[in-house]
Amino acid sequence: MPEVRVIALGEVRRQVGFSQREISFEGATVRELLRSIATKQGGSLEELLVCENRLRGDYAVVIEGLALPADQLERRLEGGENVVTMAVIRHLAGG
Amino acid sequence: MAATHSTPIAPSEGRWIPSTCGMCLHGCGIKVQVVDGVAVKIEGDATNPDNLGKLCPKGNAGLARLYDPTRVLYPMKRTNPEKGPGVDPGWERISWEEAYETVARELGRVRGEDARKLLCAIGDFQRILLWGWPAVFGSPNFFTSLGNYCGGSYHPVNGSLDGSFAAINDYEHCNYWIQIGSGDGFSSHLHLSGSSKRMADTRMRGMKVISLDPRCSIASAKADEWIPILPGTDRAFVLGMAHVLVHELRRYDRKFLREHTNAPYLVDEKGFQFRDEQGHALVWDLAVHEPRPWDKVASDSMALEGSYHYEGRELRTGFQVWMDLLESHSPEKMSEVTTVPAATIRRIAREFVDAAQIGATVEIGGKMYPYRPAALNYYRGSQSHANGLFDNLTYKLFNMLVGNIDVPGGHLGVPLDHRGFFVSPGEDGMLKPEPHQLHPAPPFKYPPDSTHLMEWFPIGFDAGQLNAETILNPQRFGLEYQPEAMMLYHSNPWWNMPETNKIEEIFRRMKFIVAIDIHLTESTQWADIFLPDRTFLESTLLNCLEPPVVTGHSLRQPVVKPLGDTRDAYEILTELAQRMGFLDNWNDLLNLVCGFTAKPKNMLDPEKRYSAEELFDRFARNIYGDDHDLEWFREHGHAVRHRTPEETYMPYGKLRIPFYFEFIKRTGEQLRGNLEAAGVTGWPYENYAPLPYWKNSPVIEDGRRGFDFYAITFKEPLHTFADTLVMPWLSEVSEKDPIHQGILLNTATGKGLGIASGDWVRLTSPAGSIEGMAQCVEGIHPQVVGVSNAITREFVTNSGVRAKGSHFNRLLKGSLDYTDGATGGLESSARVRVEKIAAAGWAH
Repeated sequence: MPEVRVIALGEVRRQVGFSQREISFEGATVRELLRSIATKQGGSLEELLVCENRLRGDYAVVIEGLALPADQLERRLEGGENVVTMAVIRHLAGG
Repeated sequence: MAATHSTPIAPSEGRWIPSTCGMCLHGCGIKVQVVDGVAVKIEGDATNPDNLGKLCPKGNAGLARLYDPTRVLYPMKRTNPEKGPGVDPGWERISWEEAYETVARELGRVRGEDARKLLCAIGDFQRILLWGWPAVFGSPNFFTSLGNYCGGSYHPVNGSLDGSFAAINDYEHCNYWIQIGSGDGFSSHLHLSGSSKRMADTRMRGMKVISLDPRCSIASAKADEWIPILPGTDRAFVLGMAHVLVHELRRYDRKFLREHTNAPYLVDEKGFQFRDEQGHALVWDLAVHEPRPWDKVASDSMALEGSYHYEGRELRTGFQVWMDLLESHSPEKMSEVTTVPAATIRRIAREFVDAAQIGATVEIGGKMYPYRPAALNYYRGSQSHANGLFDNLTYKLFNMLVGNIDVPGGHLGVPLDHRGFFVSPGEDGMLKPEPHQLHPAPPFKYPPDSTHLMEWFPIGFDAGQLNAETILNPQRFGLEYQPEAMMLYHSNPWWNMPETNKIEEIFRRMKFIVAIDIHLTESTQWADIFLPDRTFLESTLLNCLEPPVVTGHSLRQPVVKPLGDTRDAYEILTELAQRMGFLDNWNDLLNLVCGFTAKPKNMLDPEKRYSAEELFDRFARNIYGDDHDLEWFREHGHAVRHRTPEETYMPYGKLRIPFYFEFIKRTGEQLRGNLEAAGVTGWPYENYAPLPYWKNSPVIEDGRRGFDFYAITFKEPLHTFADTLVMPWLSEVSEKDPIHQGILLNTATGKGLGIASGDWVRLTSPAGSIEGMAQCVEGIHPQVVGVSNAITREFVTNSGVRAKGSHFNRLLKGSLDYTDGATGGLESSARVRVEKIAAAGWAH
């Protein structure tokens, strides 16, 4: 049962009710981690972030600084890894 | 001021405080002498390896910004409801509480209705960490051309090539430097103060510089050779040189192209990479005479050139495709475009490839590298055009022909900041292209959310000039809402956007405008509320941006007590976020962009307010560890060091870089599908091409409509953006130089038109007209007129500065036709008619 640090930003933070937390979960994959985290809507983070077996386009999961490709929900997590979940911020002004 | 001195101040008086210059975006290390609480002198910090103790005129003039008597020192509200250029706003001083309450109420109302109705113009490059504020407010809009004017096409191509943000030739090892439309090392662009020193040292050891420019710029005047050229045709010159290398001399770096690029990858009849059933990119294996996966073929067996028939398919290598394109770009043909003699194109091409020493190697730090001491460097003048993507690709590919990308002596990527190159594996053994480094590419959306159509530029920059297109023609683009409020944060879009009349119309439509700035400008005089920011000598920031040779941060710290009743821009934005109920999201955004999520112990509590000092203390510790906190930086000033060879030369290792930019073509096809499905017609897809070639720009076509001359604008190290044009010291220096006193014409041209220096002339382009005093000089192409940016301000408050009124951007078109359809880059030159309207000596 790996323990990872989950960081929730913005809308995801409001949904899960914490900003950062050490979480141990049943299983080993990103999908299983998301399934283990409850949201205020009564479902799991998996239901919020995943659609048709892919990460929804308006959300991002970043593991150890690298964005998780949308179809890699079965990626295995190592204990101690840093997992950031957030809604994608599409418009940081450029220039 | 706490005290006055009647005698000169000795360097030993008071104390010298290390800090960071804020007079342009790059941030040289400085030391500020403070005596009795008054800043009296600024010098370059010799301990900072970035600027090596040097400081440009802007930095030396920093005190004039701090103590500018017309600086805005208190929150103000407008009392005159009438708005417009020259209209007195009737400013009235108010309390911060009233200012905040008003702004939070007005912007809060907009946010409650539809946050997209806020237009944001942000121009504070050093505080780029704050640029996400509009995103957490909920607005996607970017209402300025400030960055796009220069880098709209440049940055996406650098990111797509090697994960860098900018580029510069290798000062340390280059021997032959072609400079096109750029002031690098002479007058502008990357970290000028240190770069000038490096360029001088490089010249002393014998490096040759060839400068192409329509005007005899500082770089041209100091170069070994100046080649005058028509604006926007530099690409044709370089395509002509590429033709010489490939078709006439047949000299190019085959080893580099085979081993480090996708030039040998096969391309099918439709221009897409030829792949096997498993999706592997294929090359032509000369050993077995058939296509095989790129990673199964030894590089010396890969065909670099050639066309191949295979199972009924017509295949060419990517390199061959460009060879075929170049066939029609002979020096004679390109001479017709550029006005540069064909013999000159051939001579420079030969000198370049001779100097490149293809095949040479050099040992640095115990490691062998290819050694290519010849490189082409370029910036705004050569590529800020309607076909800017092609311009940039051409210059990169020309460098690649001699194998000089990211190797000693060659053309080196410059990372956005301390994080270095964006390196991750892409497909087919390639480096993953990173055209977007300031924000992720917004996915396609119709109707668009943003007024600058960012959702329709999947590899592009923020095309601020398109605001005028969409806001004034919303039906054409499906824009569902009309903006009604504006935030100006150290930005002057009225000045920096093309087609001023249209921008003015948008300003008139705003129901509420708030400005965060230091002084009044053409834009901020339209504001309803003015929130005064602190200068770089009164505020805190940890800075790192586009360092060409070094890496690391330097600290901006207050050296004097803030004047008046000003607030730090970060704290203003934070206060507004809190009052409008999104402090938590603002802190989360900072957690992300500051990299705190990678070290969660440094994360900001979403519900808590932090001062700028607290924010940058965490930022410092997050990057450098707890022993390098803000206090450490206050004492030492900076943690800047030279980049290592490993960080500089091919930091992506064995990953290949693109020669054939198939992903650009693919991206264009996807966009075409999306836009056609949405019913959008008339979108310019042509520049989504994998390889560049010559085609006329709309500016060249305008010549057929009777606009005989080309018009360009230029700047020199005295000025950056619009900010410094209102500073008396710098204005005075500008006015001593004839090139900043009027509209430059070639002497022979003036004679032909009956125009002499001092006459009053009018320039008229398809977009508008400006007037100014003629200055006839030898150092400008006979078909070109030049307008210094130092004479372009129309509104100044300081009595020591004259508003000269020749606002160049009135001549520029900002429409889609004059925008690169792939990158969003804007056209920064214009075609004009020139007419004399009054003789010298006559009042006008």
